[in-house]
Amino acid sequence: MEGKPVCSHCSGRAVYLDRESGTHLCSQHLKESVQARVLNRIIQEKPLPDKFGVAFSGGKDSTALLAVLVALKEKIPSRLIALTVDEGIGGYREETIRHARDVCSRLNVEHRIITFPDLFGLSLDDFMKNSSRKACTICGILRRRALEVLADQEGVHLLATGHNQDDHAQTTLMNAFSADIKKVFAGSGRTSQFARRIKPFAAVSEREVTLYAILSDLFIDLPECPYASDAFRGEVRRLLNRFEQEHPGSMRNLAHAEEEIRSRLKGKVQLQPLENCKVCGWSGSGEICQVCTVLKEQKNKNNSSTGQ
Amino acid sequence: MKIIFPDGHEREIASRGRTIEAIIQEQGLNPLELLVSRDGEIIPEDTIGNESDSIRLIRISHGG
Ligand SMILES: [Zn+2]
Ligand SMILES: [Zn+2]
Repeated sequence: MEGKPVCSHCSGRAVYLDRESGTHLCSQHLKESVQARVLNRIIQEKPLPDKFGVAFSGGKDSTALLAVLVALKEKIPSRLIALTVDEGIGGYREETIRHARDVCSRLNVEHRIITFPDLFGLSLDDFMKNSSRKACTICGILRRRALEVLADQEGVHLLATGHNQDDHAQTTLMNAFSADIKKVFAGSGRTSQFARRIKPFAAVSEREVTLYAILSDLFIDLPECPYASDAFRGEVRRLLNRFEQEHPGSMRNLAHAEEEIRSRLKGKVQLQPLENCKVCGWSGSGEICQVCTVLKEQKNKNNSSTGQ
Repeated sequence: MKIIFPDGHEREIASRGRTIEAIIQEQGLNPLELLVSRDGEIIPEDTIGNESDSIRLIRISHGG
């Protein structure tokens, strides 16, 4: 075979080894296999809305997701719209936003951007100046709201995110390590006030997702977020990758396990009911939502630094 | 063959009829965290390397 493995379904040159089945896939068959799994997820969402939103950071996962959805255009009747949050992270976001715009224009997908300064008056960089909180915590809280506001503005009721099977498996294990049952159930579902969230890549590995972006000519090696430092997730990722290497299929089983537990225990675990925030009126947990708490902390900080 | 690592550094490694996967593992890396490109084309990691190959390793695990 002269060092050139061939696709197990056709005579094409292989680009991918499916380690679980030991089969090789060419570019076309790899893409079709990913598309089939994504379509399978999406058709479970009935009825499909007129407008289908994609949370589009411009990173490889959401880029690949957008490319897959465009490829499935004929099979999904909804109109696609890409929703991007610009958090205002100097030296990082400019480049990913530029990439996001470029991808949308190349794929001919409608694109909307909302910025932290527009919505909250400050960029993430501003928020992080002498803040004692972790950037990812604040960013996560604010970005989720920004995406909800944007989805609401655009009349989007179904929002897909680029989370892949590896993310899913990592989260499952992290939840298990912390024994946080509530998190397992809050992980998806009632997450947003207006838009239902789905993860079409939940059964697609990060390698396949990355490969899809490369094969679609949409992959660029973007800089990493300067604030990214989830050391625990990194550790879990390495551990899981090592385990998957030794025992192919483990990652898929782990990602599947959480969904299985959730669906079997549906309704049996009492979740805290959503409340409307007394300040902004947005639904969340507690009298004052997390976003308003972050904004209040920021205000207090400014007041104390200006001596008021 | 020449291996270009994700951080950009290059090293000449004798392939000796082994798979790229075996060579990656020998370097202490997990093949699952990488994709392999030869002359700009993605190849599966169980491809047998030739001494004349120039192999680029692409890291897949990034934040977002
Ligand atoms: Zn094929
Ligand atoms: Zn509020």
